[in-house]
Amino acid sequence: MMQDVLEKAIDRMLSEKAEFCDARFQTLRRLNVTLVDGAVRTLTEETIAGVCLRARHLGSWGYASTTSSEQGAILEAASLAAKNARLGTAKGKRIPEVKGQRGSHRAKVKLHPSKVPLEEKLALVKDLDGAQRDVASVVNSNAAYMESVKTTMLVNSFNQALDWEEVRGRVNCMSIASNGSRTEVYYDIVDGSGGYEMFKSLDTSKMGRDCAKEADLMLSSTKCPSGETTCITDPMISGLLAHEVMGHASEADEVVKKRSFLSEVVGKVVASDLITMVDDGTLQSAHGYIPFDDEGSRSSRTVIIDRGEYQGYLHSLETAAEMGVKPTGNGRAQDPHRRVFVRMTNTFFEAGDWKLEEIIEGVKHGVLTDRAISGMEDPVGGGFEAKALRGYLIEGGEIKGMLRGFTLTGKALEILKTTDAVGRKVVLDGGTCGKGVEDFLPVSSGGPHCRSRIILGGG
Amino acid sequence: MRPEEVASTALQAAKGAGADQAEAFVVRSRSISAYVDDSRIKSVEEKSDLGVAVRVVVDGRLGQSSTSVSLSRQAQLCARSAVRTASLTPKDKVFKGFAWPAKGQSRFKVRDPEVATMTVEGVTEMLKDIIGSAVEVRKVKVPNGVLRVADLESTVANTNELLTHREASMVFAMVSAMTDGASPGEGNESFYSSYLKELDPHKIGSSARCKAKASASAKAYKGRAKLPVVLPPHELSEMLQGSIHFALSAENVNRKRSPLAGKVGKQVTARCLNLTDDPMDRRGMLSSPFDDEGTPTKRKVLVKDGVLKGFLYDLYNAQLSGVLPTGNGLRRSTTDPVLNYQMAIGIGSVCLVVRPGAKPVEDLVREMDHGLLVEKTSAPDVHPITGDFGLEVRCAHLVEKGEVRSTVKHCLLSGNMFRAMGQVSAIANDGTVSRNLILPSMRFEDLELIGSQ
Repeated sequence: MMQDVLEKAIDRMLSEKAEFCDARFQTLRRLNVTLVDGAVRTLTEETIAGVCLRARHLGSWGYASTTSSEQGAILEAASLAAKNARLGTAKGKRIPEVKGQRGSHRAKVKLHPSKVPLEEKLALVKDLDGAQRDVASVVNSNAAYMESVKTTMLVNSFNQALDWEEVRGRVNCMSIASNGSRTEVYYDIVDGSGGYEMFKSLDTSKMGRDCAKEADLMLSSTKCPSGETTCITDPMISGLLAHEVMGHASEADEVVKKRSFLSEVVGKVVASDLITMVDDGTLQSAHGYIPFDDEGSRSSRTVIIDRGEYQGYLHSLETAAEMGVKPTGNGRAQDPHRRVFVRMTNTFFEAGDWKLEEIIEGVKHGVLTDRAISGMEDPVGGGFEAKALRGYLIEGGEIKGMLRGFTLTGKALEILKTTDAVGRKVVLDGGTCGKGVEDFLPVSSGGPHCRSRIILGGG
Repeated sequence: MRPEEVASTALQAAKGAGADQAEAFVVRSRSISAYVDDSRIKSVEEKSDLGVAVRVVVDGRLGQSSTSVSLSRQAQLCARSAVRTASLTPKDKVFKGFAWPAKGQSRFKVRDPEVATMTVEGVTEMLKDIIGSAVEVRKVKVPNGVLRVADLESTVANTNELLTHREASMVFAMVSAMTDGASPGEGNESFYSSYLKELDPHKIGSSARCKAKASASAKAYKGRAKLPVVLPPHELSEMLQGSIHFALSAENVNRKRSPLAGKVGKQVTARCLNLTDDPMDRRGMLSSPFDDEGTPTKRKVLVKDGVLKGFLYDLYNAQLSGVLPTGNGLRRSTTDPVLNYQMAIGIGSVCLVVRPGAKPVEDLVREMDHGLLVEKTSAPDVHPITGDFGLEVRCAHLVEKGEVRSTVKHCLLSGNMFRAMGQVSAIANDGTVSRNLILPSMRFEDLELIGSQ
């Protein structure tokens, strides 16, 4: 039994001077199906299994991981983890003992992807790819299906013994259209936590065809005006502002070492009173849903900003101990080979009470963004950078024309203080988040449409 | 288990399950990483990893699977999974088969024995040296950083009796330094090599410290200007990865996503630009005589005096285009050896070298009447299909009459990378390894800088 071996590993690390330790056995099974231009380019099943041993000594961590499932190799790795912890020089408060939870938790899915024939998934992707070719200007069609089933068995020195399952899925398409002189790209994604039921009612023909039509429309888009302007960010770009700048700077590991521009702001007004922002790992259908984090803490909903006032940070066991608060269930690791540290789950701005038409009506000259390409964090300086896939020019309260991709920038706190309208509908956008250059985790970010002053350029 | 044993087990299982052809790619690695947090060694880790990716052809249908390996049974299950997925795919009209053994086996390898025998204590001490060179008490600290060394071996074997073996080492460091105070500045430094002796902890630490101090003095840029811009190697490498490197991939050419499609023999960049993929360059972290499909690699001139000479091919795209593969089907990383067997084969340069110029970067700056010297942007990415970019500047120096006059941030550097490569006005002599590229600083004319009003 793997649990017995993990418990022996805990005993081994404790006997080698670990003040706290855990042993994490994780498996990750993924299916990827990719079609390109009508042909199956990838149909692959991937499996990872490994054990991560983690020991703490005076504020430093030692890690060792192995793909071996043999008891001898795992116990040897436990000794290495305990020894590695003693090489560290970091100091920190002792992690207070939490009541050990024990139990087994299966994912609450209606239709587990393992019960759906591969043929059905392949047919879905073929349909999604084929529909894009109905639009003449599309020179390259791409469609993909991905499912992942992750299991974790966690045992720690607080007598905790848990195992749980996380199930996620994603369907996406990307159309590339060309008129000979210009090439543009458009994409669409449906994803989340859950079983195959999230794709059962998906109209993949419509999704593929609409994606292709949008790529075609972008061939006549024009350059975005540059400079500081009134900008209505769509849910994806609003989400990047929430996640990349405000979210990363609210991760308490950055706060305890004062690498965050939000280190001293609890109780202070940091945004317009229309802004409320949360990180919520309990949203069961969202891509960043987790029942427990990778330290065994239950996921939770953390209010980061409440009507403009900053409330608090996201915590792992260690940062919670350091700051004398409860852990928030944000100690996460990518896989059995990676470290646990503070990470987000589903991070977003809450809804306001404006209709989108009302938000647009109030703009004499400005821009409405439409979909994101990427964003980048800046916990030190609080700088915002997001790349929009495209947008629309607004003149006299009306949408005038489509704009090709551009970049948004500025200081996040200055942007959020100018926010004067927040939409009624929150949309979450799933994806993966890296911290630094590695450690990629499933998350989501989002929000409603928000109107602010932002610097635009590029494209 | 040795990689060859895992590969052999997987191939036998694939044939036993009905594969007409099969290929096994196996990676075994051992890596040590030490991480900094707030100027102290926070975590020390050791990882051992072994895994296999199996590709098969069954009655003209392709299937693949990958798994981490603890016991030989997992390699067998992986092979059967690949055969099962193949049975569900339509017949592939392009793929004709896996690589054949090449005549003569090159012994070229980029592996440092010192890395293979490195201990956690040794890595920890080197990281302490980096921290020590960056820290100034109550002025500059090191909030984050990592030093990683890895020793890895990979094997490609297939049913054409091909067997290639790669041994490699990896030394990767990335640290950030940060000034104290109400408005701190942050500077980053990174290091990529296969050889431990090339790691200079003092150089890395002191460079990060200087960049942090420069960043702390930066003020928000106001207004807008078109001006020449000098970009340093670590920023430029990601910009080239996202533009010309993407466009040189035959996959993107065949899928009509490459702006360079149909332009072989034509002028595509300024005449001063020369790009070569050189898999035998010992500075390259991915350099080796074979790619990860077992195809021999070779030196390829891609852009000569600004003229496009050819593209990079893996087996599939070579067969689709009716040409020979160039040995660019890769499943390799320059920063992390773990789980490389999970990567799908992708076309990449083994070691893309931009020919350096003759002048030091200081001369490129001195020659500017009014220009910008960039130190850091938030993320130097470029839209790979259109080439457009808009980068948030985190630290850059405004130059007047050849002298740095002020340091700026919170503004956008905007342009189009394909157009900018036609407007390269100077290339420095500071060739630097950055991931799988070796490139110097370059000066581009007429980029746009946009600040607040």
